[in-house]
Amino acid sequence: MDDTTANEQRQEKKPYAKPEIQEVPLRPDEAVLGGCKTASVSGPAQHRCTLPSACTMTTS
Amino acid sequence: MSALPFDTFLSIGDIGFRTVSDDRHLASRAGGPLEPFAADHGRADVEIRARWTDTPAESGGRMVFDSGAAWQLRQSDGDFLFTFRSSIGGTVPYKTARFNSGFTEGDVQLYRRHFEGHLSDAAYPLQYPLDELVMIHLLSQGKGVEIHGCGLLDRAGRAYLFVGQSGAGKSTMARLWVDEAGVSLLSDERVVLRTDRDPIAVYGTPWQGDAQLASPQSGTLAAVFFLNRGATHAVAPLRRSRAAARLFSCAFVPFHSAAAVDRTMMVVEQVVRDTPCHDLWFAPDRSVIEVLARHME
Repeated sequence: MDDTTANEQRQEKKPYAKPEIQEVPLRPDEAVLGGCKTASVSGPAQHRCTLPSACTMTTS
Repeated sequence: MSALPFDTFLSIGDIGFRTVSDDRHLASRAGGPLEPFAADHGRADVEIRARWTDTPAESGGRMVFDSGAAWQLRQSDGDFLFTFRSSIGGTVPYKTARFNSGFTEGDVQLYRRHFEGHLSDAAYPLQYPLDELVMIHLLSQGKGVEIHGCGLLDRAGRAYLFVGQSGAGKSTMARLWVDEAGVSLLSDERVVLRTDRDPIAVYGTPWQGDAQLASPQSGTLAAVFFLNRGATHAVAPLRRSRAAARLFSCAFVPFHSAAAVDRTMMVVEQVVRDTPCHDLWFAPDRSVIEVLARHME
């Protein structure tokens, strides 16, 4: 590698940016399909939460 | 399986579901929001045999996931065993389902006594959350991902996603677009991304939100907007790393499987690499459409 190439590579380097921690909220009950949506319909012409079935909590 | 007298087809996200049964109630043509997704015949990526049982039994096998709510998942001899309970039924499962490892075949048993008085129209074998659980397991094989988002489609077949968790404004955003010419809504709640298509395809689903918008249409993914409520409208480009984290937080993933999580991460990476991603702050006002239009060409 000659000096010119090495200089070009140095110039292409991005300035150092200190890593940051950014929080992204997770909603476990939503993520695992654990709750019901009252406005959503899942079966033939039926509301998800009108049946004696899966509803132990409600999400939106 | 195909010898049973009744069957019905659904196609969601270009994945074909065939349900067969000896009871027509369990394999009747879908109605409501599912109706546009129903077909008389079709390709079956997954075949499901549905039947009644008078003796619901706890599934055997090794527990691999407990949702903390309606369902649990066990594994036995490579098969996946779902158990569904409700607050009404107590410890007795109202439904169990057994699927092979590839989710190409399944056997669903519904506890007859639990559904008494609802037999005519309510006993839908794939009732939530089983429908979406099957979908996310199939997608996590490298086909794509189901996303908590609102999707809309323009005349050119370009699809735009508005992604956010509950309360972020998906249905609000969908309602703002309802009367806009040349635009149709794929869903106000759930969309399917197929990254095994080139370009990435977006499909509407029947799993609708408060605005009750669901369509089987599809388009090519053109942009992703992450929803934030604000006093005014603003759009800002989002770094890929940030976009990937936010998209994953709104993805439905079989968390019990490290391999499925890995594949979903690769899907998310592909989406944010190939697609412009933006943060969107908006007030519930149709003037946001004009702001968005500059980022939707």
